Amino acid sequence: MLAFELERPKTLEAALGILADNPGKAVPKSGGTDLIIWMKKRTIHPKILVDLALIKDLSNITISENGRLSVGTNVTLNRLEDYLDEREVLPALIDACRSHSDFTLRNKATMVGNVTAAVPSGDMIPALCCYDAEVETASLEGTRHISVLDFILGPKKNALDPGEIATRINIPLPEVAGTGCYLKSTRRSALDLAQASVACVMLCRTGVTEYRLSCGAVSPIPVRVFEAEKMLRGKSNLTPSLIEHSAELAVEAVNPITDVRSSREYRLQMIRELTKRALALCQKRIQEVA
Amino acid sequence: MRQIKTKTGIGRWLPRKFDREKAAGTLEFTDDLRFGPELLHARAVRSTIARGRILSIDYEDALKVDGVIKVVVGKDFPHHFGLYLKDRTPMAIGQVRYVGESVALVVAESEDAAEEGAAHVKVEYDELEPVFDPVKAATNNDILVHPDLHKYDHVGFVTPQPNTNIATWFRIRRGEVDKAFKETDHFFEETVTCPQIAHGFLETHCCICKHEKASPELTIWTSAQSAFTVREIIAKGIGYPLNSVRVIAPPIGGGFGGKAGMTIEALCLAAAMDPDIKGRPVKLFIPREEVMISSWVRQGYVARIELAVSKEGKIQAIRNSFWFDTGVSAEYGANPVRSAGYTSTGAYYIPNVWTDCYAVYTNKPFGGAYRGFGLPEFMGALELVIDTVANKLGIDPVEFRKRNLLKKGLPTCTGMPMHDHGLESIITKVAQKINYDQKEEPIRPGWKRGKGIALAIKAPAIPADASSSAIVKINGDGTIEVLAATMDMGQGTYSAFAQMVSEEIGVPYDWIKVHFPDTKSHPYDWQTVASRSTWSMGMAVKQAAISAREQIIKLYSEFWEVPEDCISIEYGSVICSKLGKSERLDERIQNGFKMPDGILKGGPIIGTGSFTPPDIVYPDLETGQSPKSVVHFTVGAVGIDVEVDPGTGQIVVNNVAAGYDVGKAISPVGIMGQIEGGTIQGISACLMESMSYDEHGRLLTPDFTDYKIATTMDVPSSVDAFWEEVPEELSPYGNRGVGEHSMISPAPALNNAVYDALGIRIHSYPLSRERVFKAVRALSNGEKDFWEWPYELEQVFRRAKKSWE
Ligand SMILES: Cc1cc2nc3c(=O)[nH]c(=O)nc-3n(C[C@H](O)[C@H](O)[C@H](O)COP(=O)(O)OP(=O)(O)OC[C@H]3O[C@@H](n4cnc5c(N)ncnc54)[C@H](O)[C@@H]3O)c2cc1C
Repeated sequence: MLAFELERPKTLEAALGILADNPGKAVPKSGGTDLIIWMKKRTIHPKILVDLALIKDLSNITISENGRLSVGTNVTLNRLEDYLDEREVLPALIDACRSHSDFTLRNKATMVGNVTAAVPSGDMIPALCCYDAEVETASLEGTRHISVLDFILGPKKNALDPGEIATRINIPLPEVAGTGCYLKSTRRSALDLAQASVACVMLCRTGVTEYRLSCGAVSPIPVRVFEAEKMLRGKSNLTPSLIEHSAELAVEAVNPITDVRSSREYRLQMIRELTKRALALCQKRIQEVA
Repeated sequence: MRQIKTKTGIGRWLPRKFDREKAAGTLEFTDDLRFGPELLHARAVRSTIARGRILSIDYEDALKVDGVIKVVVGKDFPHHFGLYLKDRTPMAIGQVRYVGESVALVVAESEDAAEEGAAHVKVEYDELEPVFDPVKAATNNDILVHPDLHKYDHVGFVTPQPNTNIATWFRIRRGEVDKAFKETDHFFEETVTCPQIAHGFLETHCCICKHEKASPELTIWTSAQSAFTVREIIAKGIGYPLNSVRVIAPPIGGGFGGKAGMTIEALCLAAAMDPDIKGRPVKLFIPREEVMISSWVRQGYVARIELAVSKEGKIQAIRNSFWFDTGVSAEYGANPVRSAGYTSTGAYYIPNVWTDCYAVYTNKPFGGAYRGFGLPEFMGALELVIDTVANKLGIDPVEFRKRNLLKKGLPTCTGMPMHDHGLESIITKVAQKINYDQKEEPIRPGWKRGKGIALAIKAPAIPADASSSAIVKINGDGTIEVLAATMDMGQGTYSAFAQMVSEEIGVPYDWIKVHFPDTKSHPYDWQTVASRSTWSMGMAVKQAAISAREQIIKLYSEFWEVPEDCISIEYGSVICSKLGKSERLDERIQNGFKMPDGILKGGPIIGTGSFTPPDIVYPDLETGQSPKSVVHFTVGAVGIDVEVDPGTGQIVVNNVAAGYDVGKAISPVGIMGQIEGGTIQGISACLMESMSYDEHGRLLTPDFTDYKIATTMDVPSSVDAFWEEVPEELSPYGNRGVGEHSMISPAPALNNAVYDALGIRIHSYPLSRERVFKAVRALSNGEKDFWEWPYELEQVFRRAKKSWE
């Protein structure tokens, strides 16, 4: 790995200052579990790493009065999982946390890092898309709010401008009862990147049950399966044919590649299978709650 | 009267040597050694193409990098190295043969500078068409990986075929094969394929070489399994006397065969022997991404097996064609090919045998030693075929195996009579342990459950003269030091040696130390491979211990003026019950005894022992026949109970039982560890391991992001391990090797279980989820066999949509 300088600013302003002063040379670091490996493999060559870990304002999880969960960039996946689990909210995101790498790595890896990395197989992305999450950013010009769906522009490409940092991810907590899950197809049972994945969220608004479906690792940008969501809207009883049809629509919404992890064909088959399983699992979970 | 009493002799369960230091993280591996500011660092520049001529190597810019002091290229160090066949130079000279081959070595004051320098070396090639498919390479000589094959030195038992890609061709010609096939009741032909796989040890390769400035003296510190073989290969390669090359092997973090023979040492040496560098130590550390292209991998194979079976269910004849994909070098890989060949009826008696085992060169990283040494490959195929045949004949696969078992006295495929063993009872026990006879319901709704069994057999694949020697030194306080140049890389041999010494000398295990090899102080041992150490080195250690004991007892007998048989050593004290004397071993062992006649006698006690296998005869090159082709076989069986998720192809192992005939368990904790570890490693290889290449020969799985090995979540939480003890004849205590054997049959047992679960035979390893899923779909299309030609996948990849850009 080539030499670099490590900066550890204590305030957001200082971090933004370093980034602005070193355009093209400085990059932000959260957990570093992607970044350090990319540097070791020489796919990127930053001269300065701006470690955000000491910025207190970016290290907390809050819930605002209007029910918005806000997760700072330094929050590790293990902390996030505990927090959500205790409060029994955002089940698909809890599943996603648990499916990510392994316990020790989750002590370092963050959700914000997972989204800014913008790797198609990022495990946090599909659930965040289902929950309509947005990325909050900061730069010397001010702050922006960008939905996760729009934030990821392609493999390893995000919507941040030079000098801009993703400070938080904000998620409106569903106001109604519901459930969700995240299923992931992998080559082995831990520490693997998704070959294909499906997040499913079920929201039981009075009178109208609503579904959200999102697929991971099968498209350069995040995918919500809006066609299936439309079709399922209002259906509280998921019949086999509805499930089958949804799986078909999910397959139509994605466009995977072939690589060493999986062939395109297998990925398509797994999207079909996981969509079916995710819907069935939501149905089962909602019955367990009831 | 037994003269020795100890509570820590052979057969006892004891804490293993060096476990404490490993757990504390204080054991120093090669990379932990410090050499001060004199140390230089080397980094290889590697070929980016699979085959081609080197037109130019431009390292001007590399020399400009701060800290870089020298760049060495292949022609600067043109020595050929190799254990059995000298087909290897440390760096490419004139042409490259695979993606990753070293082309130049950048030497610098720091690791970073070396890395940076390597990034600045520009190599121009004239690309030539490569060959990756071993069957194509073996049968079509348009592309020759080694056009100079006829010029390479090799040992007599390796048979390169000049002007082909065949590095060795091992044959068995026994009985009347054609006739047997013509007259048989049933004929079967099956093909099995498996890709190259990697060892996955934790410690990557590391080596430091230092050449004296003034004289031809060389010291090498290296993470190697076999210090003396490194010494021999290097000394022969550069023409130095053996005593001018000192090899120090610090503890290694796993080997599994990947650190056998010589690996990266000659490359490091290319820098250390450079006239501008001599006098300074040079370190070559191999990062994870370069391990699989810097050292051995397990050879891939394509196996075709034909069987003739009588209507009574007796195997009449076998015809084997095995193409081993040995990659760019067979200097070591020639031998597992032989090992498979001279065991090519497995654990069965087959009267008529025709075997062709080829080591085939291809433009890929080089095949060599890997735990099991040819037998996980061979049995990975044969045990599927046996299972298939039994099923097709409607005979229970366990019964079919027993009916054809290679029992005591029956000839193996080389004509050597089989010795006594406990395989039949092991098979029965394994079957019982997994409830083989019972069709059980799957535990997981919607999954399919099945059970499978496979047998294991392997002999130490050693040259006829692979020798060992040991020294046992008794210190002046009764503690003992053992010099036995075996590498304890986690298999626990040092514990076994200490137990042997405790058994023979009667001192407690905790007083006994076994040191890591240094060729300067240790006596010779061939290699730590072939599951041979507790057997071969065990003989030397036992002999050395007995010799030391005899010296002690002789001295005490004279000192106390009693006959030798009145003296015993018990728990570290020398005892004569007749005189009522009991004395701890003390400095008199070192400084001599004032004898009753007033004369000082004795002096430091050193026991020595040497061993060489007395009567191996190399198989005849034409027929493979030999009255004693190997020293002995270790046999065993594995039973596996699995479930398969038809919706995804995921396999879960419910239960696994594995038993081996170890002759005698010297260190039971070590044996348990070997059986558990090898079983897990075998399951892992079967489920997911594969070195995959793209259509240009670029390794797509160079590190653990994509070279997957099983985690604890992928394997059963326990292994039902057991052993039998039918003594081996020529052995310290009746013991025989078991280190590799546990890796041989988990894969075919698992594959057989998946067949039992699904009803379709998968002929290609690994049984990845994707592949199993595809097999399930093939089954629903009415197919009974599924296989994917591994080299066809590269073609699929050529056409596939690989990126969104
Ligand atoms: C062994 C291992 C296993 C893994 N397993 C998985 C897995 O199962 N699933 C999965 O999805 N991923 C996995 N990963 C990848 C990685 O752990 C995740 O993507 C992780 O969530 C990234 O978070 P991080 O905090 O470590 O990001 P970092 O490495 O710190 O950053 C990732 C990228 O985002 C940028 N960045 C970080 N923070 C900010 C910020 N605040 N503003 C702007 N840009 C920023 C960095 O510059 C970098 O480009 C694994 C990695 C390893 C090493």
